[in-house]
Amino acid sequence: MSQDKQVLAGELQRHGISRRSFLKFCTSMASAMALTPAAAVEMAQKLSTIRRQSVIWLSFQECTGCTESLTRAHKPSLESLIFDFVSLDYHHTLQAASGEAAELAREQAMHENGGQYILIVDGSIPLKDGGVYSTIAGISNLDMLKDVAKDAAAIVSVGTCASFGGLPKADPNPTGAVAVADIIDDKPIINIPGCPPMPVVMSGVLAHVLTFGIPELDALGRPKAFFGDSIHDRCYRRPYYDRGEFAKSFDDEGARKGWCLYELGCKGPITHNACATIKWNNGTSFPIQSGHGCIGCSEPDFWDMGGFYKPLSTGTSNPGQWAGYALAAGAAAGLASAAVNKAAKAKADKVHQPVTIEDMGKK
Amino acid sequence: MAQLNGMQLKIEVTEPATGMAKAVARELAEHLAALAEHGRSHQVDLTSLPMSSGDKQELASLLGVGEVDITLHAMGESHIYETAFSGIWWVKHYSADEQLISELIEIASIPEIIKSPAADIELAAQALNQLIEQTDSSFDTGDDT
Amino acid sequence: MNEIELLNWARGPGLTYATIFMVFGLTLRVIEILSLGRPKELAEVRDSGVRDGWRMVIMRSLPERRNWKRITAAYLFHVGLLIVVFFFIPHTQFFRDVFGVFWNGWPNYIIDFVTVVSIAAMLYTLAQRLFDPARRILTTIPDYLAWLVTFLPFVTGYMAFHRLGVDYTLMLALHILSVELLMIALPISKLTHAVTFAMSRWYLGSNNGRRGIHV
Repeated sequence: MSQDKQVLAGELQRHGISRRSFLKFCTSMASAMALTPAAAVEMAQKLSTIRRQSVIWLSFQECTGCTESLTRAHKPSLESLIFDFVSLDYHHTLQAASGEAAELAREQAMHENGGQYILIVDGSIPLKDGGVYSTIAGISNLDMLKDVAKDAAAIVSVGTCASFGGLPKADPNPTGAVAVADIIDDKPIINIPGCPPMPVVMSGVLAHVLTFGIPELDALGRPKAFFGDSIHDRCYRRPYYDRGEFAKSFDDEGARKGWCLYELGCKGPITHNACATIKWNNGTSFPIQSGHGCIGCSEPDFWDMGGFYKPLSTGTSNPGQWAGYALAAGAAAGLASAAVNKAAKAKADKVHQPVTIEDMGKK
Repeated sequence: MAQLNGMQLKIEVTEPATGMAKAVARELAEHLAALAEHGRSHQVDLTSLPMSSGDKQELASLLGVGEVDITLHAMGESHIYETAFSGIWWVKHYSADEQLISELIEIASIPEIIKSPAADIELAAQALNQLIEQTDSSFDTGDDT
Repeated sequence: MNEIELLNWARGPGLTYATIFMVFGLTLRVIEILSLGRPKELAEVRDSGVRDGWRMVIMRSLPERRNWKRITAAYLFHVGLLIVVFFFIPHTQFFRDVFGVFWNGWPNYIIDFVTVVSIAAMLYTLAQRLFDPARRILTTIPDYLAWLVTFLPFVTGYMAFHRLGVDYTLMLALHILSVELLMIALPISKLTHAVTFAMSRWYLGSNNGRRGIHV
């Protein structure tokens, strides 16, 4: 009994979460991550025997949408179970304590679990003007991130802001916002982008980190299990794209027939996420299914792709306007050059002397 | 109804079968043979297979229904039944808001999730003894008066 | 710089720079050429040359019987290029965005077929330059470069459409960048013929006509 206190399973059971719920959770996580069902059993065994993992969650320039996505299901969702597997020692939106007591909790967790805690970050970090644009308890985001990251075992960047800079970084980036990975380079960092990220992706990755360690990542630090395919590759409307059947407006025949949304600005072809397969709200739907193109929210700089409704094959700026200026400048340069050439020609004409037969006979 | 037609709603029907059911059935047969011979159990995750709803219906009718039907109450219900083929179990996990979260076929003498975990049994034995002791003492006091 | 940043650069600043360079360069060159006028005729002019000018424009656009293989390849490539550039559906979106004019694109399978044919035709013309001794002598490095910058958009576009090789995002970025390279090459290479071919043919034909050579 006493040793049971140490491990997760016993503790959870006292909270009414049975081992079977546990296994069920792991089965759905493993399925979402395309792990074998056998891995689910292994995951459940590991989860039940580990100690509660200390987690410090730092929220910087963010909108709390990421936390909402994970916690605000109508009924206690399976995804939010992940919160029962960890000891969330600091999360200033969710924790009861505030002010100095909250910061004290953070320092205590850092002290007690040095080198072992997982740091979760949502939101970007402003660097401009000494980072004054976002502070917590008088500490700039930059300083707090560096301080907490120092003794973290791993860092999970939740949401596009923490992963790539997101909305705060959108042109012209007034606060000089950057991603976590732009500051920290000596710790393993997992990026879980999305605006917000899918709940099952967050909990799935966390469950993987707790049991099997850091999952396989792509070049942008995203877990391949969820971000390996593009929305376009997995889209149920893909056959319409291949056949060249496109909706031209949100209210035309094609839109009603559920044709491809490429011409309405869908960013599916360049966006990597699991929306098309796992879908949102427990598998109910995802943007394309409800008739709106993908906005590319799990990719860097998705706010600066020229607009959500501009097709991918168009420019993000307005080259037509520049073409007008270039035409005028080209014409001016052409006329100037013509004048120079004409002068040269006139000069040549002036010195031209006709050659006669007599001239040719001269020695 | 006339109004509905006017709205030009797209009505989803069962997707046609693609022949996946046969392929899955063949895989199940192999694993069932392995279970019979070596006692090796296995699980097939239907959620991650590219099966249409038609394929799933085809597979379900192919496998039939056996004698055991179990409902599990753990963070939402789970419906588990043994197919007409002993050792092949169809497992559907639902969340608390009744959404299907995962679906698998288990080839085992009993599905993993049904087995009572050893640690739980140990705890239960202690708890039951405790309960008996408590009730005993209450009976004792009852006798004394 | 990651793939998305590269793509955003190609679709944004890259496209703007390339457009400015191309439009400026082509306008400058066309005006310059036109302003040069004719050289002073030292012999008696025998004909206005207008008819011969138009004849040349048409004649040079018609296939000639010699070397039908090369002519066919050249035709397939040029017609293919026009079809792919102007009738691939995503391209029509681009032109609508820039010019505000919209026309219907053609089905993908046609564009796909035309692309393959065009690529094959270009490879054939390259092989001719490489293996025919006479052409080999005549071909200079700029000729090969002109071929390359025309060939790259085809190949990158084909690979992007079929998700071949690298990730689609990177391939799309490379495709757009290759087109921008072509746009930059247009005013500074022999590829200027894309806009000057008709007027240079007319000039040649009318010059001949004025001197009494009627083809």
